[in-house]
Amino acid sequence: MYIRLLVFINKLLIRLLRTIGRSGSALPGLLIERLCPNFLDTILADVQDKVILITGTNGKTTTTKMLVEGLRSSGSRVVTNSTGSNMTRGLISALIEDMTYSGRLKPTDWFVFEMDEAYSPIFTKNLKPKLLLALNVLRDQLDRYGELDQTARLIEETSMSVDVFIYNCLDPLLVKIGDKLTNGGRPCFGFGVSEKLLSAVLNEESIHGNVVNYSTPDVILESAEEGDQAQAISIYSNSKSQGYILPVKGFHNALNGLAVYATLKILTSNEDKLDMAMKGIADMPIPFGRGEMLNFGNKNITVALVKNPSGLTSNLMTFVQYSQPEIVLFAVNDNFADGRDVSWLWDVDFRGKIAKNTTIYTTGVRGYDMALRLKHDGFHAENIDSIDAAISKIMGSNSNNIVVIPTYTALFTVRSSLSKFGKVPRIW
Amino acid sequence: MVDKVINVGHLYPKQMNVYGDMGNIITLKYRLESRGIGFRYFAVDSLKEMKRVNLDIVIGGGGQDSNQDTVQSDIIKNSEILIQECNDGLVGLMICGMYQLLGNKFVTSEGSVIKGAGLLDIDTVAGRERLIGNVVVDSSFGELVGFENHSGKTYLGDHVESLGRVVKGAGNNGEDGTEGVVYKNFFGSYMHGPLLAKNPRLADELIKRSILRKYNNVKLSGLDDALEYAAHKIAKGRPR
Repeated sequence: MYIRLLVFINKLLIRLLRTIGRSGSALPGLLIERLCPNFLDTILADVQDKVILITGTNGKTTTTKMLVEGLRSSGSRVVTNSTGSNMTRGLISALIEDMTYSGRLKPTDWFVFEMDEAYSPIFTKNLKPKLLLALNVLRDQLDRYGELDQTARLIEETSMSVDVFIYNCLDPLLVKIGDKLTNGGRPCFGFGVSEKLLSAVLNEESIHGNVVNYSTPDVILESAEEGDQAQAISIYSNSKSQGYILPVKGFHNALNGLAVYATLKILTSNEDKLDMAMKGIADMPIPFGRGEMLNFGNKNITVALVKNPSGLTSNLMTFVQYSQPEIVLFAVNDNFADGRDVSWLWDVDFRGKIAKNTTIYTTGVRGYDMALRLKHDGFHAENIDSIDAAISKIMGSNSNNIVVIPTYTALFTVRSSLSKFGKVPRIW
Repeated sequence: MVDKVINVGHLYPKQMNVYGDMGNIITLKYRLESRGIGFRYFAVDSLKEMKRVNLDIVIGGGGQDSNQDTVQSDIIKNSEILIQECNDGLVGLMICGMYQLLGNKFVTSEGSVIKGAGLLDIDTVAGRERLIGNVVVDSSFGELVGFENHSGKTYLGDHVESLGRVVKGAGNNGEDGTEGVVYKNFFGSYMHGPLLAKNPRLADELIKRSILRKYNNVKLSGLDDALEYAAHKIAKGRPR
């Protein structure tokens, strides 16, 4: 009864906040988190076999969006933490948003949650979700968790609480977990790539020189072909090939699309439904900052978030090397959410990825670090102290084809600075 | 006059190369080539390979725990080669994991002792908490900035000196105010960043020592380090 009352009050609060124009996702969740610490356990206890978790260091938000889009277009009702807020508070907010005023869950087919690697073992302490999709363990915000090994341990701990573990066969740390679970007789499902595609893979190992499928994949990516705003992928499974269109570019996203396919395959035994879901993904709007394209008159600005070396490498290849923009702006912050350590900029090889006649600017708290890194690879970059001034500079230029590459907290400043020049879709 | 060339060896590049430590090598390459001095890179996967090339500078970085077993066994087996080179004046920079591995020993949290190369007179003990954050150090090679991320606590023996005194951050162990080590021409440090990129004086110190050893005389031309020091200044002012 107490919980239902809390939900009621919270829904009123959310409506009130909306009315006065404050739509932040944090406050209502915060209130419940404080007053009712076991809220998630209580609310989700009866539906835990409908809960799907997506974790990994890179691509959680985009993959979650694709899976939700797919499930919805094949007729399922889905609740998700769509804002990318992926710890207790974000999940509580997502659930309350969808609950009735009497504090009950509406009939729902799937609860799809993207989840922070460090939070997932806490979430699964009392809950047994249907499946865990583990995308990768790449170098990301290591100053928060220590090391890759630790991240893998957190994912392994979570994998013990789910029915099915779906993992990336290109990721040695995840394959280790998959092998362990398989030997223990637990269901695992791997996604990987064909031999031909291995050379294009950008995982942590490949930065250090060797690329390989570490175990035999159940579903295989055969090809990935980039177009201007989308890519076509081909997936091999059950001895046949299927082609699909993804609205997001880059090889990392082709793998994310494959991960969605693998997940759908576990969730539905109906081939037609699976096909319908995969086809539905093509129409998905690109999640904010993940290579989204913003138009201001003749100016096209692509905004591509980066968090770590492999993400920056693939974004450079997809949005700079392939698209040849006139201007590239790097906005590098080192706030807590970005990761305080900016050493990782030196794990990226910029040579050959930016054309010599491209104008390069750097900005953000660590703009000078970025400019220094570029200097060592033979590029001249002009640093502009404030992100706002940098955006004014690129918007005042004659160039129409511009790529902005921000870190996480810089992304928010970039978008709000851009909104002074025209419409930028709201994040939530 | 013979053109000068400096051979830079990279110890265990596959296993010991996290947090941008490769940047130390990129920095050396840039600072040598900008002065018309040749740069040659050698990946050193086993210390035995050092017998085949005359290295002038050797660089080592940090690594994941799970990668260090093979590295450690190679170091123990062939440590004499490295010790001999060091006694002969080879210039070295060892960061984090490789810094620890060149010491006398590492004591794990369970109390078991892992042997090191015994090149540096330092002992490392597993700590309870991870020491993470921006570091500022006062050294005889100028003020140094970097980013530390380690749980091992390192204590210096009588035969080595510290690289400098900690102004901000934990340094070797968070207790005695020291950071890093200097022994002959070998430098050890917990500072990523990468260390040499934003501390050009230290980078040039390594270069000077290697050229002096190889060519007996050294005169380095000045470089425009405005960007290096702008980045240095920002790093210094950032919160822990």
